[in-house]
Amino acid sequence: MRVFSLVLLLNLVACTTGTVTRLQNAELVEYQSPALLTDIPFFPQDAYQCGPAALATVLSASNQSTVPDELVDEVYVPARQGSLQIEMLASTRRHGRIPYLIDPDLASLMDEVRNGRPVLVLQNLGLGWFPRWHYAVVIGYDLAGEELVLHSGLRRNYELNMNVFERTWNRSEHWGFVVLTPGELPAGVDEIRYLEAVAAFEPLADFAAVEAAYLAGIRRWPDSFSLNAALGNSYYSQGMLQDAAERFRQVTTQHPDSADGHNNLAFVLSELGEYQAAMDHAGRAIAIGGSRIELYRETLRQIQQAMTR
Amino acid sequence: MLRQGATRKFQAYLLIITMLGFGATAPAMADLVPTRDLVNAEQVDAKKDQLRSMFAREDVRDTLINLGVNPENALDRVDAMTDAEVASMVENIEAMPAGADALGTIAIILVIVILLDVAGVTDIFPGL
Repeated sequence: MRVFSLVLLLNLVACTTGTVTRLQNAELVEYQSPALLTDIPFFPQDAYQCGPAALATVLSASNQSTVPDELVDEVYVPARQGSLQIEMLASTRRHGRIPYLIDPDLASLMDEVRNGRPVLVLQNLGLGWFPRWHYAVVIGYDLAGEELVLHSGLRRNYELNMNVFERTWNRSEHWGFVVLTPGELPAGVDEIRYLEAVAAFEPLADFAAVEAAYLAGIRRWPDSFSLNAALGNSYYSQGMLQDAAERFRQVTTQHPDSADGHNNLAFVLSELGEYQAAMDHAGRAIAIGGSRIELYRETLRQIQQAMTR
Repeated sequence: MLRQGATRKFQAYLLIITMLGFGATAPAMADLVPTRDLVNAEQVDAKKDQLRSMFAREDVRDTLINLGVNPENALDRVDAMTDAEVASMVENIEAMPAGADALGTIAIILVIVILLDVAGVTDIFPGL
């Protein structure tokens, strides 16, 4: 028993893999100068409310003023005495902001901070077998001093050793997100993850915000099939048929082999009464085929019916 | 509240029956390929998916209420989730970490002190 306890104790104190040494040399140079966001609001919070507090911090920093008390009803789960990750993201959407999960590594985290965006992170302050899950907001870093700066619980500008942070963050699989105002892009951005973030935001948002978010992505990836097609779908759902057709036309020009693109263009053209062009594109979609070919055939049948009406 | 849940369940069953009946007699509707499927080459059965999602949302809402969330808020909370998020909530909400606070620090210190005691480094609890 004594030996076992000693092993446990050693485990507690001996996990000293250097986080900073694991950063690539190029990264060490890139993040050499320290960064600190000085105008990030702080909501000291205890009594299990670090979820609402951390969320209020990043929302306020994104000019969406709120306080933790307003968010308790949106994220707090009484029986769990805490807040779930999914609900942190969902609540962000309800406040007109897009939550974007960062790449799970320290360089990506520092990248966002350097670009002026605080990062909400989930840490396990305890151990794997004795978890103490905790949300905090990273607002600065100092690579030379091996420190990160956080608003965390009751501590404002809490300077935490990077290695300690890395161990606590590692236990959440490096989970963290930034809050985007529609139209902004994060520092490190993945096209498909961005599309998914905007698509998840879409049902809860004003159309203008959705359009701004898709257009920001399209400016970054002008040739993106999925972002252009998704915007086309949004225009269609707003009844903006001409805009939708224009988007889908662009998609099929840039990606002539996309059956989905041709199907969607055909569908919209048919509603605009441009039956011949609609038939052509439905035909292209069927010729290309794929797992959704039945849907394309249905589109063609519907166009033919509409023509004879 | 129970009654409201029962009504919603009944409505859902009614919808299944209607959809199944409809599906048997009418062909699939032509439609746009939805945004959700744009990044996914697999064809999904939209109707089946819609049903599954509806039940899953109901499920998550009930779970949240059981975990002490005010029923008035539970539906809005579920509505802000994506289908994929709802599905993962159904699958393992029990195992999901709930970020709380550092209040457990005292408990951690207690555990360490006990370990130290057992290991013979300290003798705060002479019985151990």
